[in-house]
Amino acid sequence: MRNRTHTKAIIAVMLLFFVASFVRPQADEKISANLERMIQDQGEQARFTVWIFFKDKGQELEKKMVTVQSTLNPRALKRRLRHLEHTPLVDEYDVPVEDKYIQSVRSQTIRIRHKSRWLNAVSAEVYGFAMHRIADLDCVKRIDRVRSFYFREPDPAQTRSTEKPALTTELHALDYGASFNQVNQINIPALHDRGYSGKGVLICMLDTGFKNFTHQALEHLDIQATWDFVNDDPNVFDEDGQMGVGNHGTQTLGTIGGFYPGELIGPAYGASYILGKTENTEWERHIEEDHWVAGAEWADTLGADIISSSLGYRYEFTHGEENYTFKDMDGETAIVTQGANIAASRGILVVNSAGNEGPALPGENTIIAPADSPNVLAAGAVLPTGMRVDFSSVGPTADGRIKPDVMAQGFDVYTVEIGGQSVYDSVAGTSFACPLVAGVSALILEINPTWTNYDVMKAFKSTADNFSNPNNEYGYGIVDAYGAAFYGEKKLYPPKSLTVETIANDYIFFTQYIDRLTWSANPLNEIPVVSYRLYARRSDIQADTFLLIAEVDSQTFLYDRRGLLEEESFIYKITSISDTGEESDPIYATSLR
Amino acid sequence: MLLFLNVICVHTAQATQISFGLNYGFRHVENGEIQETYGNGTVYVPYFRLTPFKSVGIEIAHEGGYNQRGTVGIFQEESTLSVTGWEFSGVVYLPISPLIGYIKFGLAYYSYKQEIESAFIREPVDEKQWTNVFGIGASLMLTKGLFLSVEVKTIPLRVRPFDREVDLSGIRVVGGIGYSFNF
Repeated sequence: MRNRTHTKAIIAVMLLFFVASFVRPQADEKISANLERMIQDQGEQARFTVWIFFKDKGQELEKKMVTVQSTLNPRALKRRLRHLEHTPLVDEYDVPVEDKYIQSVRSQTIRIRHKSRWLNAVSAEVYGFAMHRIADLDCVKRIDRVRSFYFREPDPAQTRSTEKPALTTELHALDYGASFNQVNQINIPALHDRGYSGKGVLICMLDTGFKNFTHQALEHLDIQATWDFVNDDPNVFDEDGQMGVGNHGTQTLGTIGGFYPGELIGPAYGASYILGKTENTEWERHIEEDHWVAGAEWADTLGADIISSSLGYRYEFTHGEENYTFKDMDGETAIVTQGANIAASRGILVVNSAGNEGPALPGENTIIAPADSPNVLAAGAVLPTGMRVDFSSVGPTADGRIKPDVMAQGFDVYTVEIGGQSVYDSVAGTSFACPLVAGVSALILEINPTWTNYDVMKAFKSTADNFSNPNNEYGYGIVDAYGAAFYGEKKLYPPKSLTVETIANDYIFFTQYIDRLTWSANPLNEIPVVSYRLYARRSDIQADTFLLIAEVDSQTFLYDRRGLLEEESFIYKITSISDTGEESDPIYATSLR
Repeated sequence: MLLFLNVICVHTAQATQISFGLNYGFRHVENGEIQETYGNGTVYVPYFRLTPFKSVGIEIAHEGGYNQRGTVGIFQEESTLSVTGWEFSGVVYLPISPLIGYIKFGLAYYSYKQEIESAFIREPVDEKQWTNVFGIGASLMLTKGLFLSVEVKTIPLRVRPFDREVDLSGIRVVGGIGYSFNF
């Protein structure tokens, strides 16, 4: 009886092995269908850039994790401590790719481009004929192509507008010059006025190359590290004989961190930066996703708090390969999205441009990766007036989530130009909405150093101007930096959106003017507001000071300031008053006659 | 004009006649905006006339009574517009039995005042201005001294208290009773 049982068990085990031998991936199955097709089309002598994914991280994983934790950058450790409070600080993603595996494939490759511990893969240049040899290796799990994309900028015809800023700069501690509207629209001056500039926050910019650091608006920047992931060297400037740089990276850097009073002040001029060149700007801006993932891992290693990425991947450039489709924008398919998801899981706040692909066909989307990730804050573009720019990409994601997340100015954005040390330009694209939002993120983290990346994202979405009715064109709306920075506090907020309408009052023999002030209750206020105080000062008299002109009850949202003359113009401010007599910070508006 | 009166006086010397009377009647307003807000009105005009010569005299008159209420501005505030003035005219008589017609021409010193019931008015309108007066009229003697009269006059009064011109001109059609005697 016992012998018969043993015989059955042996047969069962043999059957299991027999079945497993069929289930185990064969070399052909490890190579993606797309890559197989490309090899067939282009021939075995052609060179391909591929991802080689490995099956695991090798032996003694626990021991390796302990080693990684002991060598974590202090900044990275600090970030993870606040993000991963109840989970291990280090996991399998942090363990480097097993060196033995790399060595086993190296001889079959032309060169290894990047090693990704997050994807447990290397990107490599490989001849077609070597592909099956690599696939035959036991440590290899899958081989797929590295996707190449075409970097799109908005139609140049849309890069200029004649609209002037709605408000002057004189209300604030800093003179923002022509950059006032782009920061004021998202309420940044209210935080700058209080001394916040992103100090202590490390921002990683992933973009084209960066140059012209002696520009008057860039020379103050604290740049802690640079790396060129395209050429694999630390030089992110132009290099003779190497792939060139565009001005895109320099301009996004100027947008977020520029500081030259009277000309340009970016939201996070006091932050520290690391700059990663992840775009090959030679040949019509040809970019590849493995550079981005490598850049994100580098950001994690150096302890970056924020990644600002004005790049996106969806519409391909080379060799007629198929694009990512709208169905792939599901937050987990594109490689860069997977990379961004892992970056977010390390506590990094990833801010990405939503894309410049404009409206979508019914039922589709035009969002680009990695902005499709639920863990990435996708920034769409609005005009200086607050209307969405036509080219700003729209959601929803393939799995039905709202995208973009928030909006900032992406048209007529004033920033540095590479052509001189005091040259500026106005540019357009969600590429420039992105650094504005990322800059606000730095201010938020400076004010709230214990917040996680998800806390910041929640604060953004809960305080943007469309938060109560989000949609796939505006997302949760235009950012409110001040509201987001103090989100969740039982704080007395000023009312929202003070506006001034000037009305002529005709008395036949003469005309006087009325400044009609309107505002609305701030839904963030958890402290009961009993009244609003209105102040005014002449804007045409430099030395004038604010005087109280009225205090109205909390149900009143309109005040007519009457009896004004044509030559008089005013700056108004309004505050909320609590039942304990506390007075909020003010918001401002000006009358223009 | 004084030269003109002087010439006439020399040629028509007679006993000096003194007349005084009171006219009352309709006052038209040219300006559409003023008319819409305050309307046409009525005026009273007491006058004193000295006629040292048979066909020539001088007149001092006061016009009052145009004191109209209306609402102005986007808040429809209550307001009052009053226009009053003094007139100094030369009068030439043209006897057309049984009436004594006359024409008059002279200077007028008018004041205009707009009072708005609002705490927000920074610079109220309260101005004075010289202008001209031109009128024609006729008297009908009822007795040796008592007479009835009618008169039509116009006073061009374009004012600019601030930077906007407003036309307060208008024709007056008035009538009344008077008394004259030789002195």
